[in-house]
Amino acid sequence: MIPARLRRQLELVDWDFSEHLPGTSKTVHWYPGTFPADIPTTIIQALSKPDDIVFDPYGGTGTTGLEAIRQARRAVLVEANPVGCLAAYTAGGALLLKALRAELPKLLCEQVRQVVGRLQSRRSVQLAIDTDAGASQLIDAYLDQLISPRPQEFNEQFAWPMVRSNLADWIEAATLHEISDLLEAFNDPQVGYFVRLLGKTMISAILRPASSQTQSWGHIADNVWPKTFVRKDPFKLGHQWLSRFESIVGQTAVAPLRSANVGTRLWVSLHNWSETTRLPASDFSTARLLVTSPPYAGAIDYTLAQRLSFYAFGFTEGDLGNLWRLEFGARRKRNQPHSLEMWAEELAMALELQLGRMCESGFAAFVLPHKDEGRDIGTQIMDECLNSLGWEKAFEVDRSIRQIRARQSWTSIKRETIHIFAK
Amino acid sequence: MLSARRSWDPLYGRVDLTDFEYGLLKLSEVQRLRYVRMCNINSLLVTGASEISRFEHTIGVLHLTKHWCDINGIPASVARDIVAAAVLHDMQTGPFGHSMQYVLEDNEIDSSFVHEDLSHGWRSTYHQLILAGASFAGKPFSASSYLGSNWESVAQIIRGEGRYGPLIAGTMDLDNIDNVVRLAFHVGITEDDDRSIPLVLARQLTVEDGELVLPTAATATVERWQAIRRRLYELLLLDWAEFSAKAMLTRAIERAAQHQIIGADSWVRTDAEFLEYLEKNAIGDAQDVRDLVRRLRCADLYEPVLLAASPAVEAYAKLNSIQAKQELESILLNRAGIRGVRVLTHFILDKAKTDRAVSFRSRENGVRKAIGRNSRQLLCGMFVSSSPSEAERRALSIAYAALLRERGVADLRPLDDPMGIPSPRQQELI
Repeated sequence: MIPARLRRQLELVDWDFSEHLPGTSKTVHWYPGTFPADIPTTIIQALSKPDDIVFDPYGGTGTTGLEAIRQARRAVLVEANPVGCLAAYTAGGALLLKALRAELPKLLCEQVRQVVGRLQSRRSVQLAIDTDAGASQLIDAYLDQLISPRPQEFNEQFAWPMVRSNLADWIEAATLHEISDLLEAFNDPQVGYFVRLLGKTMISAILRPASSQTQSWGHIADNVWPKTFVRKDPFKLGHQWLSRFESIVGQTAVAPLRSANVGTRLWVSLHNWSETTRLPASDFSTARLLVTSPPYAGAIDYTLAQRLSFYAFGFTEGDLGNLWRLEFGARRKRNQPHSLEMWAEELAMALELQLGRMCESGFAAFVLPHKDEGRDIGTQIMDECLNSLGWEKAFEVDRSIRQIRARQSWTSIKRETIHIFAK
Repeated sequence: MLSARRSWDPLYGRVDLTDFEYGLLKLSEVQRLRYVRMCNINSLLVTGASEISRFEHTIGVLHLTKHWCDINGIPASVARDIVAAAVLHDMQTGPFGHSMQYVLEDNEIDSSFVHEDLSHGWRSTYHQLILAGASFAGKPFSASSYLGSNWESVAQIIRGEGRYGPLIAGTMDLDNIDNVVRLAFHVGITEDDDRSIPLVLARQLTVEDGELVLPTAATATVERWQAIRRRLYELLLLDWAEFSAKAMLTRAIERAAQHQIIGADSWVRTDAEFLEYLEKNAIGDAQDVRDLVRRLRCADLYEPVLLAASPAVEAYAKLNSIQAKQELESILLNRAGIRGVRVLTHFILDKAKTDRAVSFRSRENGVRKAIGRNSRQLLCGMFVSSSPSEAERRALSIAYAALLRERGVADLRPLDDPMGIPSPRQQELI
C-alpha cells in the first residue's frame, strides 16, 4: 500500500492543476483528449524511482512517457493510433537526446530546418545532406541504443506513399503540392532516420492548419469537407511548428543521463489491445508503475480526427475503417447497441493483459470518467478485474477537466477520477 | 493607474510597492500567509491577537526594510535581495505560527524540519515528496524562479547569514521590531506614539560585523519596545485560555503526528485547512485528535488546574517529549486517584520569550549596551477535560507538583493573571 507520508501528500495535491507545474512537457502534436502532464508527473514522482519502468498502455502522444523520461525513469508506451505513436516517438527521442547532451535537440531541429529551408528556396537538398550527414548519423546512433524500435525500423511504418486524392478534398492544390514535396524530402534515404521521423511529425502536425477546414478537429473526424479552398504556406507552418517543438523541448526540465550506455529508455509500440495473440514491446521486463487514461466511451474518434495524417502516410479509407472499428470507445460507436458494455469489456480484457506486464509489487493509476459522467460501468468492471488479480484501491480523487480552452465540448465530460491501485 | 501598487497598513499607513515587490507579495507562498495567523493559537480571550495574518506582518517588514535600505544608501541591486528576504522570511511558516514547528523540532518526526532555511526547504521541495504539493490554491510555489540567480543570496539573508542577515534574523531585527508593535497595537496595549517605534528604530539601526548598532539616544525607544514586548508576551503566554488552547493544539498535533496523519510536509496547510484536515482524518484510534480540535473550535477549553513557573529550564528537553508527557499524565491520574477525566500537561520554555535583552553597540563611542534581561523560566501547565471539584483540583495539584519535583522541577511559583485583578467597578458587575 501507499505509505502514510505519501498518501498525505497525494491528498494535498490540487489535481485540477489550474497552473502547470514547472518543467513539465507539452504535447508536440495536436491530439484530442490528452491529460495534462502534471497528472503523470505527479504520480511518477510519488510512486516510482529513477530507472523504474513506467508503462502507459494507451499512450496517445506520449505524455506519460515524456514525464517518465524527463525524470530519469524508463517508459513503455503502447498506442493503437499510428499518429499518436509517431508523436510520442519523436518527442521522447528528443528528450532522450537532451538528457544525453543538452545541445542535441537543437542540432536535430537544425537538420529538419535545413531540409525545409532548402526545399522552400528550391535549392538542392543534397548539399545539406552531405554537410550534415554526420550529425544525423550521430543522432541515429545515440537513439539506436535508447529507443525500441530503432529509428530505422520505426520509420518503415511511415514510408508509404501519400493518398493524394483523399487529401485533395481538404487541402488547396498548390498547398498540397508543397506538402507532398516536403513528405518526399523526408523520405529521402540520405536523410537520417530520426530526422525523417521528426520531419514527418512536423508534416502530420501542420496538416490541419494547412487544410481549408478551419473549424474544429471534430469536423475533420465527421468528414465535413471545406466549402472553399484557401492557399496556405506549409513551409511557414513547418518553421513555426519547429520553433514550437524546439521551445517545448528547451523548456522541459530533463534529468541528465549519465552515459549513452544505459540501455533502452523508451519503448514505443503500435498495438491494439483487442489483438490478443501478440504482445506489444515484448522486450521489456516488468513495469513498476502503470499510468494511463484509456479512451472514454463515445467521446472521441481518435482515428478519424487524424484522417489527414493517415492519408499523408498512405492509409486508405478502407484502412481507416479497419482502424476505427477496432478503436475502443470510438465516438462513432456511441449509438450502437450496448456500446458502453462493449467498451467496458474491451477495457477489462485489455487490462488483464496489461497487468501481466507489471511487477509483483507495483502501482497502477487510471484516469477515468467520474462516476456521474455516464460511463461508470467501465470503472466498475476495471475495479472488479483489478481486485480479482490482487490489486487494491489505494487512493482516489476527483478532478475537473479544465474547460477554459475547450471551444467546443465534443466530449461534454467535465469531471474525471484518478484511481490508484497497489499490489 | 486603476490597479495601483499600494497597501494601507494599520501601523504605517500607505505603503507603496514597486512591480517587483508586488510580484513578491503575489507569490503563492506569500499569499498563503494571508491564511496563517501570526500567533500560535487562535486566541479566545486575547482577541486582538487572534486573527492577525502573517501577510499583514510581511508587508510591515517590507516597508521597514525599504526604509532601512533607503536611509543607508544600499544599492538597488542589493536592496532587492534584502527586500525579497523581508517578504519571504516567513514563507515556510506552518499553520498556527510555530505550533507545528515546535512539535516537529522537539520530537523526532519525519525528516528534520527547519523553519527558516529556505535552501533546505527548496532542496527537499519544501518537505514534499511531490512537487505538486509545494503549492497554494493550485499555484505552484515559485519564489526561486521569480528570484532566479538571486535565490541563494536571499536565502542566506533569511538564515541570518552574511552582512545583512542580522537585519532580518537577529535578536532585535526588522522582523521582530514590526512583529511586536503590530501585535501589541492590535491587542490594544500600545499608546498612540508607539506606532512610530518601528520606523524610528528602522531609521536608526545599522548592522556592523554582525552586530546591531544604534545611537545612544535610541536607548529610550528600545526600552519602550521591550516594555511593549514584555506586556504582549505576558498576555500571550500567561493567559490561562492561551495556555490551555496551546496545550490542546500541541497535543492534537503530537497525536496526529504519532498516527502519521501529519508530518513535516503538512506545513503547507493554512490554519483553517489544518484544523479541517485534522477533524476529517483523525478517526478511529486517532479520534482524540478530532475531539481536541472540535473543542478548540468552540472554546470548550481544558480547565487549568495549575499554572506555574520554575527556574528549572534544563528539565524542558526531558519533560517535553510526547512520550514523557503521556507518561507523566498517566502517573498523575493514578496518584491523584482520579478517573473519568483526561489530563493535559504542557510546558513552555520561556527563554527570552516574555522578556528579552537587547544588546547593541553605541554608534557614538562603540560601547556595548545591554538593555533588559532575558526571561529564563519553565512554564508548567496542567489542565483537565472537565471542571474538577475542589478536592480533585487539590489532589491533582499536589500530585503534579510532586511529580515535577521528582523530575527536577522545583520552586514552582503560581502564575499571576496577566490581565490583573478586576477593577472595583468590574467586581460589582461580576
